[in-house]
Amino acid sequence: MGVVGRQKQPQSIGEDRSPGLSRRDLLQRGALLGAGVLAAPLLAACGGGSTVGLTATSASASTQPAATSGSGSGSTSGTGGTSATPETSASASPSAEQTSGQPKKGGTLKWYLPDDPPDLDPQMQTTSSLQWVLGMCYNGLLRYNVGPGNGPESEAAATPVPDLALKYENVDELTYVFHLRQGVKFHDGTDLTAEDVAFSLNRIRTDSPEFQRAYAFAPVDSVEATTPDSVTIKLKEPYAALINEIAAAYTRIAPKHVIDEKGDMKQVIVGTGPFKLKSYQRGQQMVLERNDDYFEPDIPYLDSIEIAIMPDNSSQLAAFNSHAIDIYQPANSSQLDTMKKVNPDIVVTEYAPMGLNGIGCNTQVKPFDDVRVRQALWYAIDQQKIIDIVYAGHGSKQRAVPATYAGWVVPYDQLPMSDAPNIDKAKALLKEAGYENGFKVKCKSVYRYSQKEATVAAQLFKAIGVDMEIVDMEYGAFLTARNNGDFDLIAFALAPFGDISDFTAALYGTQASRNYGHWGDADLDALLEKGDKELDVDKRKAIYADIQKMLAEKCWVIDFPEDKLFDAVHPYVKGFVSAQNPERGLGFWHVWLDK
Amino acid sequence: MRTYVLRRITLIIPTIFLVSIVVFALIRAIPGDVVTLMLQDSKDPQQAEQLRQQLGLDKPVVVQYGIWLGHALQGDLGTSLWTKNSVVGEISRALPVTLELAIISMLIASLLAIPFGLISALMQNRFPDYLVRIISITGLSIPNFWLGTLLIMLPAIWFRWSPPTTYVSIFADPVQNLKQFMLPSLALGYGFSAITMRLMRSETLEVMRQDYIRTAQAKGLASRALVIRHILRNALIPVITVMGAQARLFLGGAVLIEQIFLLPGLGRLTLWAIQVRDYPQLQANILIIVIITLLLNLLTDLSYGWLDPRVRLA
Repeated sequence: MGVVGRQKQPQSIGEDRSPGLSRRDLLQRGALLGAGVLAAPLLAACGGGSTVGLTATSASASTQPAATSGSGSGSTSGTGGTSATPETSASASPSAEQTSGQPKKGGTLKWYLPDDPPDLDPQMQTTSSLQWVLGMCYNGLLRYNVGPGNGPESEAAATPVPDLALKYENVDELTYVFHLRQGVKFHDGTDLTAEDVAFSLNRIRTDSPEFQRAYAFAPVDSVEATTPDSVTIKLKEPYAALINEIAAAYTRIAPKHVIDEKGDMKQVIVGTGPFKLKSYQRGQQMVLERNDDYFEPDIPYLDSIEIAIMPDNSSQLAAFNSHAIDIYQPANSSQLDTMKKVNPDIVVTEYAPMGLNGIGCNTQVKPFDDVRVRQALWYAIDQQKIIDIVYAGHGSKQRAVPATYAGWVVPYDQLPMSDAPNIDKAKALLKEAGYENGFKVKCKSVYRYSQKEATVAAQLFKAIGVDMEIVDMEYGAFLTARNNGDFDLIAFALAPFGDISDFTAALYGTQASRNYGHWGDADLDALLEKGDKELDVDKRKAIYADIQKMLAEKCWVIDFPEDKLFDAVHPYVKGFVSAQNPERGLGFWHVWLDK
Repeated sequence: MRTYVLRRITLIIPTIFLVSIVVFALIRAIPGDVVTLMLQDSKDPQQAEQLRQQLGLDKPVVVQYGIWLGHALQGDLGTSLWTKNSVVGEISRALPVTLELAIISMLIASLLAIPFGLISALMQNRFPDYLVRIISITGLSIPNFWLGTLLIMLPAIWFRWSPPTTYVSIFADPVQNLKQFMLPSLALGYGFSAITMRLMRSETLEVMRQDYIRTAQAKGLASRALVIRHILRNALIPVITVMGAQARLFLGGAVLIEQIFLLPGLGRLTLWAIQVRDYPQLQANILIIVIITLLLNLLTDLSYGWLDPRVRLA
């Protein structure tokens, strides 16, 4: 499929700049698809012909089929994934630092969300507050193997494992058959059927703006319940990302009869997940309680989760300090200092928020149509200074694509113009472009996206005579200005999608839906198209290296470095995965309280 | 008297009508619309158009207003664009919270302002007077949201205590409810007490210099009776007027305080409606606020007559 013109519905990114998802392994596996030898990551047994199965987790929760093919290293070649062995994975046993001892059942976890989800429908919106809640209440056909020990940035976490589907067959490159787990019940006591699954997948791809994930299934031709326990997906064209999209937490299975009755599921939660909705007072509190009928034995450990809706940051901090909530995220380093003074024993995890921050140049506006001017701005940026000043030293240099795409990312110093900051070169470039004396420019910004970084950048630009004024905007007004291309410069942030092509094409494809500043050109489009069709992983990586080099050189976006944030939990919270990624869902399936 | 009240109440109707037009136009005039916020990162114009149609926002603003007015006259203020809940339902949940906050804050403000203002005047230019003046000028200078932030941060750091995170109605659990309202009411009430405290002081000083007070003193009236019956009562008249006029400010102050202290009140609902451009919700909230303000003004006017026989005669 043509990637350049692909219209993306975005994942909204919250104030926490919740990161997106890395699907690099899947991509490698996906590459095999065209050759008809798709090796599913979880396959335990190779079926005959082109049929490949996933093994069931079956009755034992601790025996997860582990990914052994394709997921090991970033350099796995396109032919490496044809065999795999079942393996006992550690996914159900919590990680070392978070756990000592046997999980205890019971207790109530106190947690918070900064805002209410807009509504509760599992198949429409991608808002992060909604994903956090629904991730604990619904299942998909597959899910990513996030769990204690498998943090969101680990290879294992990027591996799909069975969820409602025990296995799937890849009959031919256009046909997938998913075999469902038996005996699964929705929260209202009804049985999960193949009809529910087919209905849900078809509903997600409804062509209406309310269904923000429809784009992910654009290449799907039909979804049908072919037998009582199997669902067949037929594609219009080979689609490497299908398994990723199925495993993404957004692809949730909801009961057909509830939607038939109510029209939508905006007010109710009826899933198959480990927690069900007990009560919800908008703007105040949501209470989830254990689903005793959940198909995975012993899961969840918690009796209930109380989620307070807390928009104000100081009250979140106060509540964490006073143990009114058990988890605080994300924290910056100065907040951590206070927290540690009050409660020295809190457990802190560092993570990269995985988003991309930068100043976007509007190439329709002079002088930013001139690549030399953009390059001059880049040469004036000292990423280390931004790390030191804004991130208090917690961060690392990055360019072009977020570090999420580990294995695909070209290291900073191997990209063009990695000798920044270089004021002399910057001045020379400006002079060449005819702006020897610099210029004045306004940069639109909003508090939640990289405004602080832009403020430092404004100081740095002074060295080359560029007088950048930061315009502080209200969020809604900012979005309108950004989406309409109504800016000269704009300080913004974006969460990545799953596959590296999703990110680069959606932002830099000349027709793409997130291309706010008329970025990209015909050369880049050609590269993106080529990268989307290339099924050999190594060759594809080479193409993406070229793309990153081009992005670094063209400077459509002046990149800010990657920052580091922290999760803080009280020490009695065990089995917590710092899953800063609502796309993975999960949340608190394996959390237990040691108190 | 009755005609006066009726006339005032009747005047509320055209005021509301005018306000509804202004609000309808203003909320649509500010940059950034609900469709952009709903679509977030996508700038696809086709999707935006489709969504605009679904929400009924593709029609001219005048037509939209006509539709809204027609429904409003039948008592239907519409449903939220985001939650699809009835906006009246949302308000009926939020309003009691704000009213409780306003009433407790008002109580705190009066309990601080009236006795302190009185003492300050009676002991003019002595230590208690200076102290009260320092307290009141501090209250005037500190923004309530900053005080609120301190009130929530410091107990958490010092005593590991924070107010409950979840609102509970006063009828369900009075103790929990008051725990939650204590700090926000203090943050809000202190600022308001400062203005009243200063006014109370100056009014008392004014009254103390009146001839009738000197006469009362001369005929040997006990000082307690003098203060309570003659000074306090007369000094209170302008103070109550000002407090009445200030009462509507609680609605504005509540916006930030409710946000900080996690109270699901009208202020927070209104702020949210502005942020996400939920036009029907905002429209309804502002109407309610206008009605409350107009009623408060009316009550204040009526209280003049009740407190001051001179006004009643006129």
